[in-house]
Amino acid sequence: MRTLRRVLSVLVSVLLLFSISGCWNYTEVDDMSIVAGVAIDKNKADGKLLLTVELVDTNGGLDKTQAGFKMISLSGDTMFEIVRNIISITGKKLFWSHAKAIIVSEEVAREGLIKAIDWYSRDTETRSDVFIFVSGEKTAREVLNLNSTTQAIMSFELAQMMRDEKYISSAPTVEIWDFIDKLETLGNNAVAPIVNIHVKNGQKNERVEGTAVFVEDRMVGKLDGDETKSMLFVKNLITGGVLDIEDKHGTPSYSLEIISNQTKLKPRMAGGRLQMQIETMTQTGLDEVMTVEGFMKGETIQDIEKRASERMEADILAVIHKVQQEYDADIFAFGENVHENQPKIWAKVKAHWPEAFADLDVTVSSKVEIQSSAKTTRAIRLGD
Amino acid sequence: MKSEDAAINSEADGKISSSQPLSPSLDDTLALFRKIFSNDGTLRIRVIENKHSMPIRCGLIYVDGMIDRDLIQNGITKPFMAYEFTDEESGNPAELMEKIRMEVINISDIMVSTKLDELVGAVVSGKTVFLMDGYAGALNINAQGWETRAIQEPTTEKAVRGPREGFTESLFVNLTLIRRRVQNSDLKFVFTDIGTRTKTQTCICYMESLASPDILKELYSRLERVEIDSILDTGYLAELIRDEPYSPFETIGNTERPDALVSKIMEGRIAVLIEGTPFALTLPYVFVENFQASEDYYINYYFASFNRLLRVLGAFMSISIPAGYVALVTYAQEMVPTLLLLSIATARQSVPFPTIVEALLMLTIFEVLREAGARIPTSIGQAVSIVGALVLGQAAVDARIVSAPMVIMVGLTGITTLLNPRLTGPLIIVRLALLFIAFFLGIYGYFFGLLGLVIHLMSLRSFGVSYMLGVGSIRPQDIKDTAIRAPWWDMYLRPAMIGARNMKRKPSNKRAKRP
Repeated sequence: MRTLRRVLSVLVSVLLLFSISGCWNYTEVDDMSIVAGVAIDKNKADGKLLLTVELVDTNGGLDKTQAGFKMISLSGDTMFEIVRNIISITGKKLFWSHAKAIIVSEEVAREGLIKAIDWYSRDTETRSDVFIFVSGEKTAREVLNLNSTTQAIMSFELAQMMRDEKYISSAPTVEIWDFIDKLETLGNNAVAPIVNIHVKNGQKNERVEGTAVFVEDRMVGKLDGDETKSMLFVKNLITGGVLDIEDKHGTPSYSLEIISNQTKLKPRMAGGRLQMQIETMTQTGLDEVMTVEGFMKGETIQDIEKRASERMEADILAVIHKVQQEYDADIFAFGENVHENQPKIWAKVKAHWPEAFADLDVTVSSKVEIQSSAKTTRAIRLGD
Repeated sequence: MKSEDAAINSEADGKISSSQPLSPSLDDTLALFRKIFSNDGTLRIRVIENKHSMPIRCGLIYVDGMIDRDLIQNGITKPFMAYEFTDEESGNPAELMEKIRMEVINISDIMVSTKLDELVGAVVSGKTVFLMDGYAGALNINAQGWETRAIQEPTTEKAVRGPREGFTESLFVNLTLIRRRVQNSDLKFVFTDIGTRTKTQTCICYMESLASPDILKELYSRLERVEIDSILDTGYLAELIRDEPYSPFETIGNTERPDALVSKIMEGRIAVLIEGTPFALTLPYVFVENFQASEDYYINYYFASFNRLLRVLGAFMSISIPAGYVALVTYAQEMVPTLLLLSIATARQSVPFPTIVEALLMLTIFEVLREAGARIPTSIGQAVSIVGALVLGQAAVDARIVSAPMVIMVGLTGITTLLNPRLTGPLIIVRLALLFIAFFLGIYGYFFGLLGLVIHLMSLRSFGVSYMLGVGSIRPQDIKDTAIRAPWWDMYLRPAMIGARNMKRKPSNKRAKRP
């Protein structure tokens, strides 16, 4: 009787195991279309959404070392409708977990992104760590379709670019969860990197540079690469990149490699006005001196540091003023900072924060330190 | 004659009544032996006489092939025939027998016996029975001698460094090998026989001051309860006396190496050896012993620890690879790194079978090759590996019957199994169980399977000692001989519970000092 009870309880446990399983029904990898990335456009003809998915082509077989891709475009009223209807073209269910990039056209972005990304963040099969881009070209799909000659998968290349963005700091790195998080936060506006097609010598390459500025879910303007870097300084997101500094005659001749940066935001009440004090502390290395005499003869390290600091202060102020006046979008998260550090003041300004942000008094004090001059202290000597 | 018939009848049942008295008549006794050993062509009966004073007739009974002929000739027949007995001596059979035992026969091991069953048992075990006409008793002379295999390096437990001697099929040679390593009267050999028909000699071997009396008592009581007619290898015995008879994991260890056996005895374990097999049992047996090789104790402890960790990792991989692969590829594709998923997807194109069928197919083929390799003569072994590697591996991938990643997975599974020869059997069973549960329930099922495995292992006992002894312990001495092997100067305690009777192996933590 005891044995019987034991056997029965084991059987019941095993049966229960089946009922609490998370994912029933297995899928073979060859029965699905792996999505690499997606471009969202507005269809010119009927004004509906036009979705272009980049699918990994696994039919290459054994001899091919690199997986190819294929593009499928379909328009429809809602994202999910299009996504499901694509099965009628591919014959296989789309598999979204490995998608790396969403590119939205500027047109869609200016109309509002909620309708494009809600499905993506809501669905169970999609991942929220996908990178989001705004196309700098007319449509988003032409960027995705750029590599039709080399057969390299564009979305994976874009994801790789985002991972190495920390060495350039000319575009923000934004994953979709981060984007949505900023949409939901008062006192913090969303940004997204801009992807362009870079044409030189007849060769077309994708290039990620600049920032699309959003107010709520609508894109309102752009920042270029240098402005983006200043913005990232304010947001304390700089982990690398280059500062180019003029010499005393005003020609750019020094490159400072950013080693680390620390930015502090201090919201204060000064003379009845809310003031944001920004202090940056940047450690750099002197990595390039484009003069014959070298830097010790021409100028001292202190001179270069001073000029770099002044330059940075001016750049940062300029971009803040631009954003305040032209876009009125708090992409620097000043509001959130006030909320955290001065909750009493925040309670007062919260209700009319966009206006308060535009009216915000900003002071910047930058300090650039040169730690080293890389491998050598001397200039290249010119022989005869 | 009536009693003789009774003796023969009872012999037919495999039993001889011990109350059967021996007849003083030599001819009667010889006739009785002839009857008992009827249809046995190996029985030799030799009648010899000494005629110096008055004739003394004697008989020798032995089984051919189990005695040392030279010893019988020089130790029994020659001295007996040449000895000059006086008349008075010849008159009293009892005194005469005593004189023969004390002065004539020059073989060291002689016993007097008057019981028929003892004598029959002595004859079948290779001893020589010496009978004298007119005396109702016999001498039981040990002049055993037979061919044994030479002491060779054990093939199942090879060591690059360490003793090269292995046990043989001869129990006494094996005991010699042990005794030579432990020259201490504390080492005990207790004999018994098991097998109602084979009467296989069994020896229980332990250190009196180290072995736990409780475990010893338990072992004796389990051996007493064994009821089997024959024992041909210690494997029979292990299955009959083990704990948890339904578990695939061994709870009694076996070894072919005398050095390994002695090291276990020195930890307080008990060994059981039987005649006819080079494999000795050691008990209690705990899980980590599956990963230990005797070489671990002879080589540098960093290297030994590394090897042990490899074996543990190998065992884990061997049960996890097929299940993990199937779970990842059919359920949790989002957990596979993108590029790996793409290459798996590319390789799986136009493979006709689902992943699980592929996995089962390849695993079965691997096991078939393994079993074939183990059974066939070594000279054909090469052919099997060629067939396995080329035909079934390369050709199956080229023909798109299986995908290349699956071949890699099965290859890895196979090779990691070979890291742990002691665990081969359990690993195969656990692997298949995990594979099925992973196929039905994905990663979730795989982890539940692992959990079940851990629960099962934790619940096992070997002679009252937890099978997972030391696992989960945070006392440094408990983990010094587990997945790692600590240096000898630091292993100053014997394993807990097993060596509980005398924990200290050496004064604590004394290492060599710099001069």
